[in-house]
Amino acid sequence: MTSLSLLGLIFTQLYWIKSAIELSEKQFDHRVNLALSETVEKMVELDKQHRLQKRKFIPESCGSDLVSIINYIDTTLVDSLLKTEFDLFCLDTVYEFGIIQVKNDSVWMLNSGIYTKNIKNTKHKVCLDDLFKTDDYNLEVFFPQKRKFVLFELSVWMFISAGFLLIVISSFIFIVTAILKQKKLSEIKNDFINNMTHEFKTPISTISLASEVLLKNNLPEEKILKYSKVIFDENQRLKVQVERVLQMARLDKGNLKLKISEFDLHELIKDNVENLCLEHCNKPVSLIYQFYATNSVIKADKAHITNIITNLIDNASKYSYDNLRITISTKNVKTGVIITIKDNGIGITKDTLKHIFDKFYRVPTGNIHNVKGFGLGLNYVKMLVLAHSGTISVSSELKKGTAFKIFLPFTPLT
Amino acid sequence: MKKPKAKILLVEDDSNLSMVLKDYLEMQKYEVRLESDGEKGYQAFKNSKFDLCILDVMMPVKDGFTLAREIREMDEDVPIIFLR
Repeated sequence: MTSLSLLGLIFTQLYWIKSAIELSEKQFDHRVNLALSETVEKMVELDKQHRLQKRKFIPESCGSDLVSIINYIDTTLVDSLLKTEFDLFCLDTVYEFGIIQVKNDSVWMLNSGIYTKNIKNTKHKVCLDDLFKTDDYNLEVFFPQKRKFVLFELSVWMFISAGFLLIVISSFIFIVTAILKQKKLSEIKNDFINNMTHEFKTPISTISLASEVLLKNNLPEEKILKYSKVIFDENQRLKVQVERVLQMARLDKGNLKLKISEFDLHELIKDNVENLCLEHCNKPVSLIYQFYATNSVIKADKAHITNIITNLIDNASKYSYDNLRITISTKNVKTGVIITIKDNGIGITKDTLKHIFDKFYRVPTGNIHNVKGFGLGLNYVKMLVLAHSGTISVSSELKKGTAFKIFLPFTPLT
Repeated sequence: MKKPKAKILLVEDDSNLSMVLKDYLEMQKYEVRLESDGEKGYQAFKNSKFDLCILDVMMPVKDGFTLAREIREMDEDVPIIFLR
């Protein structure tokens, strides 16, 4: 609806501009005709004065024939007369003129050298019958830059109109994109809340159910142990989830403080990745290390860097096929280390790739949850890499695998 | 308990919750069949008769709502409970 009325507005505006140009041209023609008749009057006046002065040489009876007029009316005179008049009527533009003999279409006087078609076809002509006592001669004027002149006269209004129109259009586009963005954001938030409630409710129900069972008397010893273990595990899970949400809130506030220390990246990777894979991956993993970096000692926040690496490894193992292979390679560049974590997992589509670092973003699958998560992991990874003044990039091919490339400087800028 | 045991189809992907829930229901003298994702739940329902279905919503392979719709197509009367 809004876009329709905007289109209508544009069309109306264009129509107005068009009619303004037409009107302006008409006005221009009118002014030219006035100026021309004024010029002719002046010429006649001059002719009379001339006659008075030279009465004795040219008898009245002779009339004003061509020969006598030729003597004193020349191109410069006509030009200067025209110029004064045009200036008077504010017609400050280039013109060509000529005095044309209509009968045989021949040129008697011309300011532009050649008798151009333009002059022949011009609208602006005035009959010089008062001067020559015959209607055979026409003073014709042509304006090669008439359009330009008219447009220039209107240019201020056109610019203002175009400017406002542009503002209206751009703000319209801005509003529409903002609305779409908001809509998408609220969808994402909704998804996140749904997801979070589910992820929180599962352990809570498990704990409540398990404790209810425990409260029953005469349970065998092994059952009690089993249920206690379940309650402990689920509690742990809740703790991790709460921690994750809190961490996000902290990152959001922006008061992130890095505890910088010096450590060897290779050691950190080796220490953590193997533990992680033993703990979390419920499928066989082949880990390949390609440590090409000769200087792998960096200054950074050890805990966060560990989190970054474990997050990425965790993702690789979550979104994978059965024969998971993770390659971790490092190399040195001038100012730091590049770590590449590459897997042979399910890969990410191009459309999705743009969003994976967005907060709460999860590849939309509706209620089918093959992989549990909040959509916070990669957002966290990116925020922390940036906090270490590093960069992160990702490349992926569907069904082939994904590679994350992280650059960390030797010392983060403060 | 002279009535025959009611058969319950429980479809839940969280291992701890499903284990505890299964134990709990069995303690109440129900016969429980546990499946870990939507597709397996569908196969189980197709192959045998149940008196009650307890479904999770967010599951791998096939979500709870889809599964419920499919169960409804096969059986108009079986009560369905969602776990949320």
